[in-house]
Amino acid sequence: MGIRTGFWLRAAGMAPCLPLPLYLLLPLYLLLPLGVAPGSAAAMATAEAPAKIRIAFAGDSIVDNYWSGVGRIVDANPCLKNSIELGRFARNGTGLTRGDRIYWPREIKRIGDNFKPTLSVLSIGLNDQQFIVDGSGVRTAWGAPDWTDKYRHELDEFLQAAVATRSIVLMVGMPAMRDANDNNAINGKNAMFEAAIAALGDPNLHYVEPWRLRPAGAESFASYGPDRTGRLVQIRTADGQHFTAAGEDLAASYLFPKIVEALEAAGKNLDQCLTKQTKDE
Amino acid sequence: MLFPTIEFAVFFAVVFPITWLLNDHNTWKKLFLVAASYYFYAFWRVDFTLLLFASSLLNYLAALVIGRLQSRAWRLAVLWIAVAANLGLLGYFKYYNFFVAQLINGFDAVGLKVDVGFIELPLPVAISFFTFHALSYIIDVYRRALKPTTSLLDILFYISFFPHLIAGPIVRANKFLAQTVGRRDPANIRLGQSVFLIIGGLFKKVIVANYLSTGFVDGVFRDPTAASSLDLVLGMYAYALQIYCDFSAYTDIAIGIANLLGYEFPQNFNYPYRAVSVQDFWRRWHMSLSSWLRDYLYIPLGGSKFGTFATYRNIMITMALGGLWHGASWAFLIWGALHGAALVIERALGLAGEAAAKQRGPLATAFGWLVTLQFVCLAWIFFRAPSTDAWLGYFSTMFAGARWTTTMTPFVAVIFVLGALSHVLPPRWLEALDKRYDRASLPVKVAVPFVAIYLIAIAAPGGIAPFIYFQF
Repeated sequence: MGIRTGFWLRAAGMAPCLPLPLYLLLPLYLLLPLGVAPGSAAAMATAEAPAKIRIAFAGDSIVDNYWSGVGRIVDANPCLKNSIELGRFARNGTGLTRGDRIYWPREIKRIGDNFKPTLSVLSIGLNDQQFIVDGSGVRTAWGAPDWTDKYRHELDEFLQAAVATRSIVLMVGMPAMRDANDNNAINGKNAMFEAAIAALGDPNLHYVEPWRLRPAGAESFASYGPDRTGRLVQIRTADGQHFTAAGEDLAASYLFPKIVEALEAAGKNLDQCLTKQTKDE
Repeated sequence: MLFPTIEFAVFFAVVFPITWLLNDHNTWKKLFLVAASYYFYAFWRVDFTLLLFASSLLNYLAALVIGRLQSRAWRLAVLWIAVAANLGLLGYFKYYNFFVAQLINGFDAVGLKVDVGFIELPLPVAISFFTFHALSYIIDVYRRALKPTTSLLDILFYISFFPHLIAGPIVRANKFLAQTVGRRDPANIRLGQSVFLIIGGLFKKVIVANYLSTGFVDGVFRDPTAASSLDLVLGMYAYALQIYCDFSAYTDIAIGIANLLGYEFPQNFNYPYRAVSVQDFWRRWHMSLSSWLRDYLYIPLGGSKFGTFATYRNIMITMALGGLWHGASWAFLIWGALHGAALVIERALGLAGEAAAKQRGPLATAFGWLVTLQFVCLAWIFFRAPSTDAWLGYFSTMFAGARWTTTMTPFVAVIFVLGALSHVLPPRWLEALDKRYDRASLPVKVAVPFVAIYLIAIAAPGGIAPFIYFQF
């Protein structure tokens, strides 16, 4: 049974024959903007549990890869699963340049307020080869003489906002990309991230070198590589930027010990969950 | 440039009026639309516009040669060369590394080392789609079902037309080229239908698919062995809904946009999860691909003309290659082969075909729907699971039935219900909505899309998730 017409829809001259459930859902739909961001609902629901170490993964789509890989490490270990809560706060296609879409200094504060992370894993910059719109809407053209200074300013704002959440912050450098232009850009950005973090000098803020397929020598992009069993598998996606699931596992096995180390340095010990081997993996 | 972005809105706001302003100057209009389409494609990578152009030129010339040759053997030879060039290009970019990896791993398993290098080239966006468009053109010319066009512009337009360029629907050359002649009649624009296809598509993609993905499905598939059985069951249905909402959204928007520019695209989805058999599913899901595979692969292989075994073999080859078309991985191959096996079983049990469908009573139809839906959703697990371990883990954990708790939030459940409505709402209601819109006053006509898109924009999650089918 459907309600034949709705007054406001009829008034708009477009009243269709809508079913009752749709009418009941319309108010919910209008409330969607108030809905919490994906992944954060579950995270916030558990934010009350004081005993757990909360790790937020925030930034662009690359950080989703870290969230997945680290998530599998945590999921595979019941003790870790009981000790750690992961929060997924990646926003695809965003960065430090487009404050008109997502202004990350504000977003990171919101994450801090709601999720209250113990540690934040950040990765950003993949989509930043473009004009900058800052938090107040001022635009700086891509290639303008002051673009780099402006970007550095946006980066400082972001890092300061991350530190203000009072969590340990690991800013992970971007891994090698297939495209030479992308690579040049990310090398420049990684150097800028490292320098900005050193300049801020906050003891809770750390730069993490990007994951490398080859531990030594010149790093270059490889879409296939050995997985943890030594079998050749696709580790980077066809776009030449992101990780496949196998690649996520490799990157996470590099990143997770850094997380453990940073937590230990802050007095959050996970020794009860980790053997020497799992700690190093 | 993704459809649900400001960039595309601005792009279309420029393309739409200019296209209609040039309507009485067809050549200029086509030139403009080709330029716009190449600009659209260049948003991903400028250099691959050359590949797109080269592919179009190659197929344009091949069709001209095939069309002029009288000898069937020579026509076939040229066709084979052109098909090999098209598939060679596709294989080089899309499958080369996969086969090299299998080769190295295979030899390694028996203790032999082979030294074959990988190529590190980006996969050109849409290469599978524009290759299939081109193949449809030259094969139709070979079959004398279509006269080769002497206009390079028409071929450039057909292959690059931006609404279908990136993720379909796969438009047949004979259907599209007929539309490139002369001016388009604005009276043929179905405004209400196009507007609601676009709005509905945006809603399905931006709200339903994105929230289902980020809010639930990604978490379940991340490590299926760590999820509860109930989450895995719900995750399977949620992914089925997500991929439908994602892909059908793209083609809905593409069809709507093309129609606003005066061009007709074929329907690509027809309530696929209402299918009562796997054969019925493939008549409702990605219809332009399944009919392409039927006409250009299954039938040339012999179809059902050469006995039962040959028919089953042809079905299996067609579906396995159809699976592999989606990407270079064993999971896609298995997914395609599973569907092939299901089609073979249906045929063997006499459940396939129109006659069997007519003989089914309501109970048998309902049972058929239930079984088909479960099969299709289970097969999606292969499509989504990132590795062999992942899908093995998914099935073993789901069927172990160990835990019946869920992490699905009420918010995601509401989104799930909203997505499911896309299969529940009768088409006549949507048609009534279209007609109501067509009769509405101009201010209402303007206000409805603006308000709808505004609501979708503010309800959308932050960031832009690419369409799933972009990777294919």
